[in-house]
Amino acid sequence: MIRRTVALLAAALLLVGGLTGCNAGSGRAANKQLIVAGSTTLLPIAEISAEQYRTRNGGAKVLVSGLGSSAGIEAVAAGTADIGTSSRDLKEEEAGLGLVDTPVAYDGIAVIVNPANPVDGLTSEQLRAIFAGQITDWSQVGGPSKRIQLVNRDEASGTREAFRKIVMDETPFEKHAAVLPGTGQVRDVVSRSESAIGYISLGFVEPRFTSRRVKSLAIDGVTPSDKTVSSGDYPISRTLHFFTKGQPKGLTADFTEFVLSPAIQDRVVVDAGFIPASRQAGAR
Amino acid sequence: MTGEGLVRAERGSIVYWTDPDMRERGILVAFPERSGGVSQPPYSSLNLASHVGDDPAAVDGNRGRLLAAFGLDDLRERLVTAEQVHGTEVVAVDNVDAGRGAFASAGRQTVEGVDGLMTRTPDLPLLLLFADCVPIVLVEPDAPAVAVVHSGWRGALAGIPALAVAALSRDFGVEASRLHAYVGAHIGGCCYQVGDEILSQFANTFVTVAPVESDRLDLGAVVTESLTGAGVLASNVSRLGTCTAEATDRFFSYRAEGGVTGRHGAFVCILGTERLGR
Repeated sequence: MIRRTVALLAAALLLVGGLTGCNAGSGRAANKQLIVAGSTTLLPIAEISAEQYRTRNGGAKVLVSGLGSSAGIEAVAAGTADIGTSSRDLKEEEAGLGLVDTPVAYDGIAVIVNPANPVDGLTSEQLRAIFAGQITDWSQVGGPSKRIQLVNRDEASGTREAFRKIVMDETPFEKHAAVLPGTGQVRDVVSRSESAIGYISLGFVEPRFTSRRVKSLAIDGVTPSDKTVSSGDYPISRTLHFFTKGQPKGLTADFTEFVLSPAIQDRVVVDAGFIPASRQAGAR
Repeated sequence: MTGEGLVRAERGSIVYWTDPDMRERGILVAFPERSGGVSQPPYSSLNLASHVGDDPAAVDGNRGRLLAAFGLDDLRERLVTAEQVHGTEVVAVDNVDAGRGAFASAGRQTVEGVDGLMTRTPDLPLLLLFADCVPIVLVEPDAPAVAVVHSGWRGALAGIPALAVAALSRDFGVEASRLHAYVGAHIGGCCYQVGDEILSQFANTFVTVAPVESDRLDLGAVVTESLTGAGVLASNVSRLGTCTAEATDRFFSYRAEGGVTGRHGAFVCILGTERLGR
């Protein structure tokens, strides 16, 4: 099933690539067709953006697909997509592809503890050692003598994957941590247990559907906030990108501008749990 | 009581899903498939939406064919459609709204800024448009009162199904326990990949969402939970259960067709008393 969907999407992308290839020279803006491919994290945002853009600009076709960030970067570099969406930065080997980055949203991962926990901050090294099971008691990081209760996410989690890459480096997670399936569950356990530590998207630290509170820790002395995440000062953060081959022009520029407008940023991006790029335009 | 829930009906080359028992009680509920229209690919063929780049004349032709298939040709000019903005507004419409958005090529504008329409007015056909998002029709046959609702991930997260039930209760005095809910074809939990962050939000809000093994979202389960949470009886919820992304031969799928495709509809109309004898 999954494979079939991917195959279908790949086929659709190839077909579209082929068609626009035939029209090379006339330019896609003239055809009013735009191809957006890449990150599944960005897919629900890209879809609503494309639909609303289309409604407002009669006839402009925006084709959206989610094959993963790597496929998106590959497609835009090869010219089969106009915009490659990505939830990761470019790798070293992709740096020379001539891609221009327009951040469309930011995601910060907050490390959370119970409000009763007197510890207010950790270094990246301490955090890694805690999640690796090398530091096991809060007294080792300036807290009370109490065993640390680790709360991790399941392996399918994008947040876990981002946390693993940014914080853990090559160090494996402690295997005996509690593994929970959702941000809500992690937040709930930490709000109830004085010795627990977990991590969730910054957008969910403040309660949305509950009155239970959690406390986010400063990491390397930086408190997570919209500002410190979008400036890049807070270490556990990532940027959601639109990559284009060269500066965005024509329809590509127009669509990107729409995605950066309040209609999408303040509504769709915020609803999806991310920090709007427009809020700190050009900060990073 | 309703019997089988949604069953397949065929009128010429037009295929739609309807509840015959509810038709007997004077309410036509219909979820048409994409066959039997005049639109060309990628909108082939019964595309009912004017905002997707299709030829407006073809869209108007398709809407006319659909009404004809229902035996409601005379209501063609009274059709009411909405802008559908992935929001949470559900508004009541009546005779003064007749014909808003009825034609793609000309005439009055759709009802702006809303994702749900409801009415107690007979012979006022309501139509909303879909390609993966969840179509919901709510019916209280005795009042009578009806609503049609559009719910994508943003609407589902904000609880538009429950808000529609509340609006019917607030504006029309309808009891939730007397409502019948129909959920048409939408993208299924098999295919609707949304990413971990959005799934986590649903897991926070809806108990039926458990993102343990995938990053796919079952919007139908979320909508059903939202409806039953608002007081609709689970035994009164009928789901078509077809996944649009897996059935692009029968329905339009925004996701599976890369964003450029037509829209099928969710339709409801309280039939005037003079029609019921037919």
